[in-house]
Amino acid sequence: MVAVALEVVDLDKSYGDVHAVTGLSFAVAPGEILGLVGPNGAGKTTTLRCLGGILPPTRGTIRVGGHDVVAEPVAAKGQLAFLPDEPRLFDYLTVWEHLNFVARLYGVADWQGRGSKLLDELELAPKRDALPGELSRGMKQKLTIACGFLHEPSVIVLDEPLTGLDPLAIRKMKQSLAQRAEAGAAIVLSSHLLPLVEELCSRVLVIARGKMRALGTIADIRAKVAAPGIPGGPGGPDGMSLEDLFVKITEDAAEPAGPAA
Amino acid sequence: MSFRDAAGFLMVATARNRVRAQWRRLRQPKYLIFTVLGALYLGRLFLHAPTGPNTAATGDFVAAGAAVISVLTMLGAWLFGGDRAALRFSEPEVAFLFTAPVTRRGLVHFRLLRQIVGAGGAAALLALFRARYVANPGFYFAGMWIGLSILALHLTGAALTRASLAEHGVAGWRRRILTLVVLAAVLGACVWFAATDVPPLPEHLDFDSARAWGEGLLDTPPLSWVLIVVTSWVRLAVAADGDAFVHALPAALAVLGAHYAWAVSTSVGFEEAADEAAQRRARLTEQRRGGRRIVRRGKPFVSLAATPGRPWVAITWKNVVASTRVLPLRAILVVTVLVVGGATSAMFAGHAARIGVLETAMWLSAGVAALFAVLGPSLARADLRMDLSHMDLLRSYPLRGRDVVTASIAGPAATLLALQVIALVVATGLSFVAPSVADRGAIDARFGIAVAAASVLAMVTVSGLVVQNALVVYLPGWVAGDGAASRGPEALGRRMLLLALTLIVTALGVVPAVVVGGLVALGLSFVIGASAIAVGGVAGAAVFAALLWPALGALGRGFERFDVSEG
Repeated sequence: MVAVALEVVDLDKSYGDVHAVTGLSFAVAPGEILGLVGPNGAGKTTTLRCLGGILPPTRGTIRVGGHDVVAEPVAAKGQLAFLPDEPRLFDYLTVWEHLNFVARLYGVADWQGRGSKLLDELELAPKRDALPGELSRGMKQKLTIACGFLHEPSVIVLDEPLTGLDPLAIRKMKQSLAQRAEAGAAIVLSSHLLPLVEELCSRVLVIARGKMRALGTIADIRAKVAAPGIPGGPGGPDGMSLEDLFVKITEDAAEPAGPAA
Repeated sequence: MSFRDAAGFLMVATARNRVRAQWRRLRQPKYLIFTVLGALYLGRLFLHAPTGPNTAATGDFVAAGAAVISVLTMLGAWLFGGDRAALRFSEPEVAFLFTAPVTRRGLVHFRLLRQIVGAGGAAALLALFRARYVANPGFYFAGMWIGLSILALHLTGAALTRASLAEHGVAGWRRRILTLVVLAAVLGACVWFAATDVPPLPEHLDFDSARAWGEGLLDTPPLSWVLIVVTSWVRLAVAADGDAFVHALPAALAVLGAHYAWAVSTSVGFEEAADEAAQRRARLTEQRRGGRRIVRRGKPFVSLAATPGRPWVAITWKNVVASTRVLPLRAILVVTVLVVGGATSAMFAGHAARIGVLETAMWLSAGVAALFAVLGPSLARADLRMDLSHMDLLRSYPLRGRDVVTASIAGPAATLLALQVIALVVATGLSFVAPSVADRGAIDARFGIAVAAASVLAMVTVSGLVVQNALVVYLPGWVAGDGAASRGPEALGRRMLLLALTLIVTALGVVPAVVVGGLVALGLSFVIGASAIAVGGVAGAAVFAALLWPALGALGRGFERFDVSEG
């Protein structure tokens, strides 16, 4: 049993002279949901794309289930699911064929049963033979989710997972993520919906200008922000919501000599 | 199950569903008719028996041309290619395959196999179109398939090798200089050995002796070793019989295999560049689906503040601004400066230079104006083609269909007409200083010709834009161009339809206008002299506008009935 499902050590990602992410280190245990929050351009998507194995890190290591994503990509990615912010589907594969393709890719033997269950759960069963062009934005997002969950990954990385979903689907998605975490999956999700992060995540990682600004439970972060010399929110340090904390931390980070929490 | 299974499934299911999607569209008669016409034309090309005594020679010439282009493309890849290996993956491929348990080598295998399959499709099309000119279409197809595959694999191998060299510090100009040094060494060796081993050109040169000498040169090492990258598949493509084909096959397959092994064994990171390239292509495709082209940022040439407040003016203004961004205005400006600058400097040069440069510049300007009229309507897509994905929004505006269509077309029309007028003004100005035409005709005659030319070009331009926009209103499925639309008989049918519509609009609109304008000019010439040409041009334009009005009305009604779900 691996105590840490996902481990990121000193992650750097640069695009030429632009440092998108610098010195990011954190770990996610099985059953834990980590929320990644930060302003636009903070480096969240770059971080998630590195975790998903799409972008190779410039420096540092990412381990999934103890396997280095760069050195042992097959072993690491076999346990991983990456769900991008925009559904990126093959124009000429039907809903069911997408699941068939993913099953072949990940070697899922009993995929038909799992696939049918996922389609029922996500209310996509009537669209089984539809091409992506015939699906709404929300349905495409649901199909991406179904493809991601089909091989029952132990680490799930989601970039803005609720975009385009209707309220019912959002509720189901939240339940589904919580159930998967209870079943032992480690989840990293990025979202601008702070109430969602507050409700779902056991810990929060605040990132701004490519650097980690805060990491911990909301109570931990609240305590750090309310340290001597740092004024609290309207209701005092204890009354600060995640939104208040987010604004406070990212505003501090925006200042030239802003302290990192 | 494995990645091989998944990749095979992806390719087969995609091909099958693509054909099904095209088939479904053909249930609508309007698409069916022109697809059938396209298919008939393709069939005729294929079934037409070879004609003429020089069929084989023509085939040889075509294959040799393809070989030269292939060599130049390979050299270009080494000299001008970037230092990052941007292998071509689509966004869904990046999202699904890069995050899946697949090795980097597995991804390269997938990419290479896709290239070989794609080369097969291109070779089949080439064989179809060239079937009349080659000795054996089957051999030609096989040769071209292997040739195009080798080219594709070479470009991939070169991209990976360039990236690998960059990782080892040999990048940019250093790599290009290294390439040139290697190239010069190889070329020097080839020339050296050819000079000693190849006999001089025969004194009485005819086609057969030149061909024999050329073949002797190509068979001389080390040139023959270097060029085996193309000669191997050219011999296959032009094989005269089965024996020659079987004899040439092993070498071609060996070159293909060597390229495959080279590309797949070059271990270098390509994911980041491939991801960026996929995102860039996806944005481009998305814009093309909406009938849009990639546009550059920049200050608009026209300010809305300067326009009056009628609603349709806003649409025209939007499309004028978009046209100025879609068209390569910077390149046009550079060409204009070169033409005017060259002509001005020639004014101070000798007589011979004046004749050469000034006349060339004059005809070039007139040619550019004509080019804007002929090609402009398909390039300046800032009309309903650009707004195809926003048709629902356009429909929600408080405007009649006729107004929307007219305003949409007016945007690119205004831009193109302005460019044509500039080109014609330059041409007319040069006609006064170009020695051979400077003394011919009075000022009013030159002015009249310029006005008449502007009038005719304007009619051609607007006709082209009307045809393009009619296609959007009545056959949006083909304009959206989701990839399936631009292949096979459908694509050919669409082009045939465009040609037919252009001919009809020209016959019904431009020809009567030109005839009326000509008659007016002829009649008035007895009264006002050469100035009548200008009046005729204006009269022709007025006739064209009168004929255009009902056409725009019909198009407007089509727009009002437009099914937004189809776009």
